[in-house]
Amino acid sequence: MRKLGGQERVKLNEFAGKIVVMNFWASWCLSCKDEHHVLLEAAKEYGDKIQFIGINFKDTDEAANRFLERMGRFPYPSGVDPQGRLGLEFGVYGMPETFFISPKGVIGAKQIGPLTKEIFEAKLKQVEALQ
Amino acid sequence: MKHFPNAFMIKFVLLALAVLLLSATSLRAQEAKPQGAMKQETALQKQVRVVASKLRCPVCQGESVYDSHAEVAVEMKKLIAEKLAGGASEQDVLQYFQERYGNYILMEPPADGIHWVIWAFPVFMTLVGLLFLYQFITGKNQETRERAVEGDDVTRVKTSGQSIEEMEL
Repeated sequence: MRKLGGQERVKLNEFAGKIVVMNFWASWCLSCKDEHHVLLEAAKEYGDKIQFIGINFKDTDEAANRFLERMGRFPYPSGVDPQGRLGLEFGVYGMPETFFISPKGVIGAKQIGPLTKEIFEAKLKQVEALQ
Repeated sequence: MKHFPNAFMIKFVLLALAVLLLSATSLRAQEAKPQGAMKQETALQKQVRVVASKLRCPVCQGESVYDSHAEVAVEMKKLIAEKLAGGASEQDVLQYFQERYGNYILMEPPADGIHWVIWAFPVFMTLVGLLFLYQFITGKNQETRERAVEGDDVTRVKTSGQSIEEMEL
């Protein structure tokens, strides 16, 4: 998958062995604004033990970058899914949606809708319990 | 001179009829176009229609993927077409979405596990309804018979005390 704002590739299998938090977001998604600060804080707090990755869903690089400049850049990479095919692969209903994936690649928990700090911690515990 | 306006009127009416006829023919031809397009549905399009009709649009209210024009549904239809063209069976495609979205994605939930209750409930309620109806009808008949018997008795009692003249009345 192409990385947002460039031609570099993001490979999901690079993150095997770590808990991965995969967040689907888009600049056109209003609820994504609500959870943005939660993701920024969580990445700061848990960034050393879990891998975060954003998936910019059915969006354009320009709009996505404007959104990040306004809301604050994620300290982790975002891949782009302009057609929404990865979204279908993950069974995404709508934006935002977050998957908590175990080090073995099993989806241990998912959040449909915006994250809060409490929801994030509860879902993280669920995926940690799988280990 | 008197006939000229009539001849003119006839020509005018004939012309108007011709215009109307042409318009109607043109309209019918336009209406026929979609039907013609339907007939040209390819085998793959038919398969896509069948599969997409069995899948629920995940962001819609009770609408199938086939009927929906939501972006996600359009993308799902493209993916269905790609998978079918790639050799996947209808069942494979349905299973692909079921694995990702759960049974919710199926317009008709499978009749297994807890889902059999959904299928059995209407049958059960129909049977209960029929039972109530049967009891209501047979109970009503019984009541009617009892009233009829009571009525006969009363008639007999009444007639026994009447004179022949009164009975004839």
